[in-house]
Amino acid sequence: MHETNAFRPTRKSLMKTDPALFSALVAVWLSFAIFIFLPVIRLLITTFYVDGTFSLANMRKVLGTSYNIKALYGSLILATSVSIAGTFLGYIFALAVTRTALPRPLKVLLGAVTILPLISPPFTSSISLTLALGPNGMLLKALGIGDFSIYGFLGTWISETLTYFPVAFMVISAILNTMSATLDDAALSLGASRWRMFTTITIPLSLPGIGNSILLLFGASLADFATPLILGGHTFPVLPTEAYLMITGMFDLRGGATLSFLLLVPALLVFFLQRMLLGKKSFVSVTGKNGARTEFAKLPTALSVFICAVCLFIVVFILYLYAIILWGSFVKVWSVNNTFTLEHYAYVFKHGQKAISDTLLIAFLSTVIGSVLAVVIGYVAQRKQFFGKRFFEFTSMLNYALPGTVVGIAYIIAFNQKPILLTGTLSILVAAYVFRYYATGIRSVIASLEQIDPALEEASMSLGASSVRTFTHVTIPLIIPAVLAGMRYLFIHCMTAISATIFLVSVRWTLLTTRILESMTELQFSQASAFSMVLIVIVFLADALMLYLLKVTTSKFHKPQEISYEKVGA
Amino acid sequence: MSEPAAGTPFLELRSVSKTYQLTKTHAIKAVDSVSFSIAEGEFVTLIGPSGCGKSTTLRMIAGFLKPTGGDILLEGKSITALGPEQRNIPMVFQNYALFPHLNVFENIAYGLRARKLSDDIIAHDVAMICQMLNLVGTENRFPDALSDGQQQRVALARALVLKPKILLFDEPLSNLDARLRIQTRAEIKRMQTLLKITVLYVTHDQSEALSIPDRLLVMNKGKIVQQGKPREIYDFPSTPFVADFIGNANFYDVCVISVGSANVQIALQDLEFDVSLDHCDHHPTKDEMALLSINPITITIEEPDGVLGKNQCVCMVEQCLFTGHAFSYTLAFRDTSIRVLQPNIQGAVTQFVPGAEVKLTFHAQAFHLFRIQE
Ligand SMILES: Nc1ncnc2c1ncn2[C@@H]1O[C@H](COP(=O)(O)OP(=O)(O)O)[C@@H](O)[C@H]1O
Ligand SMILES: [Mg+2]
Repeated sequence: MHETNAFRPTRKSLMKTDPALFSALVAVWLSFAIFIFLPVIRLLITTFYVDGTFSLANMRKVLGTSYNIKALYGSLILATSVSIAGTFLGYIFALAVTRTALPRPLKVLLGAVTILPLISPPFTSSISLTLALGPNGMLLKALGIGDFSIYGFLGTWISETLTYFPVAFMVISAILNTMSATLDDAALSLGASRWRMFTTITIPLSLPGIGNSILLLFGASLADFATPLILGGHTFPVLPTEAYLMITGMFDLRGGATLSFLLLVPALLVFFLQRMLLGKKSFVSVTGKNGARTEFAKLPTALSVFICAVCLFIVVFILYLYAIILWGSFVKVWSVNNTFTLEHYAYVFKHGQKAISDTLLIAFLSTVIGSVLAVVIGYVAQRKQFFGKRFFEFTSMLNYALPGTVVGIAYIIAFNQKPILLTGTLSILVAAYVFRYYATGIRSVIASLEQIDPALEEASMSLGASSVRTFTHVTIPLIIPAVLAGMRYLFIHCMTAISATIFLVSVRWTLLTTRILESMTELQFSQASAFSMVLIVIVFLADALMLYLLKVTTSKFHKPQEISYEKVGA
Repeated sequence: MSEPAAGTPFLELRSVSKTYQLTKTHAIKAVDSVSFSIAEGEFVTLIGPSGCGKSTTLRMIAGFLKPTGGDILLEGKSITALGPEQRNIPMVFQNYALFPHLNVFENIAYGLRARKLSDDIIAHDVAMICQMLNLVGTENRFPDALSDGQQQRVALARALVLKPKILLFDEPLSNLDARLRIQTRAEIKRMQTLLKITVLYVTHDQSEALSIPDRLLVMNKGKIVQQGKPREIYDFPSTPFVADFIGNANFYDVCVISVGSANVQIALQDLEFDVSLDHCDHHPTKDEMALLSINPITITIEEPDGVLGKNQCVCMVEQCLFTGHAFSYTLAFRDTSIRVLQPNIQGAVTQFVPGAEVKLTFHAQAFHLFRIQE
């Protein structure tokens, strides 16, 4: 009795003292319940409940098939190799951009080339690898290699590494950039050689970034569905494709659910490890004020040469792959009849028109809704104190942490029946995208809020503005660059992602990425190339627009923001 | 290798310049043909306002930056082409630049390990230096678990353990609070004397600059404007800039009334003074306008007693700031104002309130006369 009395006033007070926060929390928790908890719970029920009781029968059945065990190992081995190779490449690129004497335009080119895989649909490198190194492959012919198969582990590994190393590049170059350059100077002036400086200072200090990158790439590769579907072949099964084939090919929803549960376990493990790693205080931020404007010391010459050689090779290879797609989209029949034609583009704009407009509409809706949610969630999680805050933050990221295949399967199971029947609708596609990819938006909003001194908001309140007015007139303008940055990735993901939504498309609503997959399975390589090119161009233009907006808004807010930081003493 | 000839300076800069090419058309001349030399065992301080090129000069000596002109010599040999790792000129940084992933022991041992010394020697040397700098017991801690003063001492230990012949400091005390600053300053001086090392020390703080060094170099806009013993520079500033920056002087445009063989007579408002020609930076001519500098501490302030001698006048107090060791007055001085610093000899002086009339006594032997720059 006594306890409940003590508890009640605080409960009441949130509703009374901050009604805006209260209603925001209620609305967000409700959406979490429907679009995050419900699907995962239904997935677990489908996996572990048979005839109304808890049972491991599904699990036993799935694990009893040696092919499935092979898929589990395949997934883990692939994810491990991709995360190591991708992180290695990303590190090399990050070093090239931050620590070598390459001229600026070349560094910009390196950055631009690493953007390409990020804005491309997930099949791009698989398609061009097939065209280059597959049966009748251009590169094979040119090199005179006859007996070679790209299908299997090797092709999947190469393709995924090329697709995901840009993520490693971004994570690691961020950490290499925030290192204090005077540490390099200190090491050298104490008599360390440049090699010694590199191995005892640069590498140890970038370990958190390396760790984070390995985990991110492990998760991404584990979840990747498109690449192994095209390049894996029968000899190299992985879990996401097996789950997909089980559901679409054999209509075995239970089997698919169980396989995706197997995928969920390592994915969540990686997610937890990553949160632990990020939660730890990073070394980089320890040293504060800088004495002089300094540049990073250059690496040992041999290492610089090696780095530049690797970058050159990779850049040329990536450009070659994209050139193949471009070329492929303009020839009649790939490698059989190489006459120039526009018929594939004609086909894309005639029969693919609906896919284009659907994709754009869905991506646009998801971006807008996702950004609004990201701002609300990010703001509440960073600035407000309330009961269950950590759990709130964790839940918001859950769909992002889970592989797309798992989310897709969970969504068809959950929304296939009343009370919430959404299969085949626009809403289910939008919801799948929003609750998965708003995560980047939330992260960037939180990061931006951490930089903005709460004293600015307190000043606004102390001058008589309400908390809602403070939010709309002070906070929002300050975090607009972060929101736009989040929107940028949200839009790119919505245009290019397939792993979750492949289960959710229907006759009424279809996506460009699924059309590419269809063309590939029908061996219409040129058509697939044309679809890919159109998609890449759309994403590129939209991305350029978004970057332009970002530049305009940041340049507008940059100066006053800086001044206010100083005045506030942050 | 031959021993450097007697009289060769230990470290010498010969018209060293550094230009930062910002864009194709825009360049900053951060260091402009600077020459100076330092003798072995000397403690030299480089002082100047923020942005005048002190760090740039120091970083060129350490080898982090290549000069765009000139030559740097150590013991008579040019080191301009050498990388920082080949010079054995360690530097103590403003932000300490302690390696955050290494504990205190490993931070101090860093340079020794780079020299591939044996573990026994390293352990011994580190223990010695920890003893000297009062760091015993912190060896296993990481830099972020140290106080500011301890971090500073680790940074110092890390350089000193290498027994360098010369040590560079770039504003090493600016991140410390006032008390620690005085303490650490004394520490640095003590270590320097004890270990007989040569030191080049950069600061923008005048009290720091005056108290420790054997010699002072004053820098402004990329150039060395004056060098000498601290006392010489304080008492005989060679330019208005030095008088202002080191002595925080009052400046007045004055008219030269007559020029004698040893003195020059000037008029400041309605007062007339004789200034020694030794205190002029040029030979003034009659009727010329010159710039007079008066250090605030050289003016005596007292209760008016109705009698006004030569070099005396009555002014009204506008503002009085109490700084503990002194009273800092601003007074109305005819149509301008004047700053006067009165030492706080406790109990022996009265504090004047704004509005009060006071009698000022000027001591013309402390005046300096400069040519007016266009
Ligand atoms: N890396 C750099 N690039 C361009 N300009 C610089 C750089 N470092 C310093 N400067 C400029 O050179 C001048 C001198 O800088 P610095 O030597 O750091 O001054 P101090 O240490 O005396 O404060 C300043 O005007 C500064 O802006
Ligand atoms: Mg400086």
